[in-house]
Amino acid sequence: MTANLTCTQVSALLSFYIDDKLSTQLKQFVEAHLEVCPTCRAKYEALKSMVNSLREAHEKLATIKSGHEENSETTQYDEFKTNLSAYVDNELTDEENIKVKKYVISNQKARQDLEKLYNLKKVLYNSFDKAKNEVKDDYSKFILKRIDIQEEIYGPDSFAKVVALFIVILTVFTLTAVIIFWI
Amino acid sequence: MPKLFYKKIPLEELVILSQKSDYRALEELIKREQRNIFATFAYLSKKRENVADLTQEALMRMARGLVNLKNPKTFKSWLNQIITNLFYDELRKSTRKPQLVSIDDGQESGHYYTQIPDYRHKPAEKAMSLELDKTIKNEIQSLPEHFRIAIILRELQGLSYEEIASATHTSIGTVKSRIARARGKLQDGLKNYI
Repeated sequence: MTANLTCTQVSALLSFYIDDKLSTQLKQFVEAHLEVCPTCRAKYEALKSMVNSLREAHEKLATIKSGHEENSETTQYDEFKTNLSAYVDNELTDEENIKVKKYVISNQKARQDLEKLYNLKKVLYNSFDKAKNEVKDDYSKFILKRIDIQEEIYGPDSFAKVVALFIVILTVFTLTAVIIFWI
Repeated sequence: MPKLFYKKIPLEELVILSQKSDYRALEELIKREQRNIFATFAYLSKKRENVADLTQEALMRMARGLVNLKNPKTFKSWLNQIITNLFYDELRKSTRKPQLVSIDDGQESGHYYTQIPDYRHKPAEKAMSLELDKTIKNEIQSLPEHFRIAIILRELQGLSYEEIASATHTSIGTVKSRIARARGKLQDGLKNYI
């Protein structure tokens, strides 16, 4: 192979040259040609910038991908935490229960989270209990009275009584009228 | 029947007796439930002055609607349906109605308000309650309303996810995630205490 490469030869080698895959000698020949041939030089620049931008794009994609993987790990843990919360409420299926138990045994963070959940439950329970016991008002008499009053005014019983009384009076009145008429 | 008799009756039977217009059973039922309802509204409602009214209204609805309850076994979740509905009603009202101050107050003694009192801050009452209980209440009340009702129905009322789902008209999955997220938020807010 001579030191003078033709343009066709160089363009065939360009891609390998950019990837640095040529032998030292061949590399030197290509370099020599690029220095003297502006057409091939332009081709080289164009190809080089294309490859570079492709590489950048590829790297970007890779970072996004790995970030996404991390994200999916956190969403997975969020999902686990949702199940853990349902676990302390005894609201999981048997299968889910076993899964949670297994994970809690093998994972320290999960164990701590479970403990925190139990603590929260305890704290809330105590607070609610106190709040319940602090209530002193008794509404029972008041409510019964209100119901009583309402039923006296609107209740079906009183309405029926009024109707019955009306019918009785009417009957008595008619009977009296009939008797008087006969006499 | 002696009063003591009613105190020993289990809840379900008390419900049945109340449905048959046994007023003493109803009285006992109200007595048993009222503290629980009061405490529930104390955590649910941001306005302290509304808690007593809400409790009375819930008890009233309970006493009046009891006849229509078909299955006495579902009493607890039925009652919580009433509580939930009242809670959402109050939310709707409170977004529409601003805080009112009567201009006639103090008129009899001859002087009018020169300053409008701010009912949101009650230093005396705030100082009286213990710090932790206060923080818990604040944290619960600062939760989004759907989270608040879900966690209260679970932790205070002890309802199952299914019962909560039917009381709040959502799916069990939603209830599950709301409770988990409510817990997460509470843990963040109370991390100095637990």
